[in-house]
Amino acid sequence: MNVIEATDLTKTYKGVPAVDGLTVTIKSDAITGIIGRNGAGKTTLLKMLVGFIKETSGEMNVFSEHPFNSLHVSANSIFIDDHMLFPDALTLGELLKEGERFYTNWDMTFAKTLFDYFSFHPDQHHNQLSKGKKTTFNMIFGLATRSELTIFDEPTTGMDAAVRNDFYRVLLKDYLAHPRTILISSHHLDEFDHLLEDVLLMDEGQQVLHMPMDDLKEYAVSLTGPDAVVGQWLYDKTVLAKKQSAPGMMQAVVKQDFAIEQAERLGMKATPVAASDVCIYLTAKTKGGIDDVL
Amino acid sequence: MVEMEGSKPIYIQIAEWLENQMLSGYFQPHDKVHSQYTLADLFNINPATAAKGLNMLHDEHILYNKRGLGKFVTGDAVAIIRKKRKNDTLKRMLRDVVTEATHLQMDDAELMEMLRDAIHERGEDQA
Amino acid sequence: MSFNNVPITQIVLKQYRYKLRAYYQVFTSLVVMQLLALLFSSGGIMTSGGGSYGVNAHLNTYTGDLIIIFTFLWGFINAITITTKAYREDDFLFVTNRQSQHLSNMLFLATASVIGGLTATLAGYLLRVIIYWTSDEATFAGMIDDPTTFIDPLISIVTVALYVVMFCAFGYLIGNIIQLHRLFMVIIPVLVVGGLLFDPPITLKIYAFFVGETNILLFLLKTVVTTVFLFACSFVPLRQKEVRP
Repeated sequence: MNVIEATDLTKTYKGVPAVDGLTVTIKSDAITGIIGRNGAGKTTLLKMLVGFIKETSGEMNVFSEHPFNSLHVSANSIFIDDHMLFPDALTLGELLKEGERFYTNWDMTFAKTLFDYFSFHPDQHHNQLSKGKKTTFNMIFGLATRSELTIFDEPTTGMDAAVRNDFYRVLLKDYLAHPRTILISSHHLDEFDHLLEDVLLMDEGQQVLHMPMDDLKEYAVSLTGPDAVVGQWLYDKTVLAKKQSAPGMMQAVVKQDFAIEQAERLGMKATPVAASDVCIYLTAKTKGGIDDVL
Repeated sequence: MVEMEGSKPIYIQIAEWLENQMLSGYFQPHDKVHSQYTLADLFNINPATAAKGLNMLHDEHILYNKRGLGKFVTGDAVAIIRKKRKNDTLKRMLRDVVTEATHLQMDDAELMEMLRDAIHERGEDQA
Repeated sequence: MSFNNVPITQIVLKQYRYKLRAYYQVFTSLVVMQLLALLFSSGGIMTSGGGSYGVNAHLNTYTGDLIIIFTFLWGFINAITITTKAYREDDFLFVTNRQSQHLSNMLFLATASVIGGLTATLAGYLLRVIIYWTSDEATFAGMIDDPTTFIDPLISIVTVALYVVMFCAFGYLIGNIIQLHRLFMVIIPVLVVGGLLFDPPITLKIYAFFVGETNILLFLLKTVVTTVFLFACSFVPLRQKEVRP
């Protein structure tokens, strides 16, 4: 079953498209990574899904309802990021109580356990927390709602490495215990690729690819060999990137739609390409890099 | 949590880890193996990836399904694993050895000599 | 999937209770405003004590004009405040849509107005006690001669509360219009000043429309209808308002 269905979804700001004709379906009870560079339209998409903002054109359904002004979508979804501002008047302890009042599936035991583990104090106020602590609190709040659609937008901003690992571990364990649809947006795929079932790669407001994580890991292969051999091999292949690796040697990243043994037999060395690198190659603005423009 | 290594796809690592459990006798024929959720927790991975590893073993007749109960070790799982490893893993490793030897311009006799030495060393270790 | 099915009334009440807790500054500012009004009023009496009888009578109607004016101002400003980005976006941390947000805001402002009316009336009595102790007998006697002094406190509370909620509704509308576009921050004051200069002055006409009404039932009708109308208009810009665009 699909939790999210969007058709030709577009959102423009002052005429500039942030999401540009996106058609996508997200299946339920899976963890999907929304990956893309800054400005790819990830956050805009996510905010439309929870009904914060309204699409300019196109169609979109979340739980079979148009999310903007849908109480049903609001009651069953949560959007977590590092810009969340909680009211200053309430303490962290009171905020958790408010969460419990509003979200029917709220798990207070879970919230309190993490709250203590990350050394929060119930009398603290959200605006007094450091950036990393804020995002950690937001994460606890988001997970404790146990929302059918749980969205994390760049969730680990400001967290130190230890907390970040804890976060991903908690997320997975909580998901295993309470499967639900979870979206995580980030530009650092390598940080949490092990958690993902599916990946939606976006660029310039559009979908570049949408596939299972395990397939993305085998999407491309890097071939290294003498110029002539590699050059000849590439002519009918989809090349994502290539460079001179040493004098007379070429390294090329190509879409893996052939048997690797074939290439190896010709004397090329094949190495896997990490999923995060595939994403970088697929969304590179030019075939070169910063070195080619400076 | 079990640490992952190398560039091998994770679902293959899961499958190999389970195979090793069978080879070592931890899992006997008709034992129930870990569920995709247990594996996901154990390896800190998405359960879909764990399921892919389990399904791979199922397709190779190393595991069989009992509807609603989970996956179980087949009677000839160990034999299948051994055969597979010989045919795939070992062959591939040997091919790599031969390729490397060619790069180093070793002749066949020299390579065979090295292999015999390696076998000999193993004999000594076991003694 | 297990969905939470929540009727809008339930969410409105939850939002309302949340707002009573989270917006407690609204009530501290009420106390501050009314204390300031008390201070200015009693001070004003003392300095103008020797003045003409008419001035004093005008200054000291049943609750003290300044207290009421400050309470109106308080309602107006607070209503604008809760339409600002920070307040609007806080609502969306929890379950809401724009209807429930609007309805809970209205409930909150109505509650605040009743409290404003109540405290303004009480502060009016307090002011009289202060004046009794601080001014000469003649001034005080002049005050209690005023027939409005003995108006039923309940009517006083209701009247002030209705005025405050009307000011709230007005502020809420202006706040929501300003949220539509910053330019309205300039346009609206210009319109208000223009209204004052206009001949015949529209502002005075509006004033007469409400304050000049002697029939309590008609007054009730006028204020309630105006308030409802203003609140209804506010929902037009709010309904399409995006959160954290």
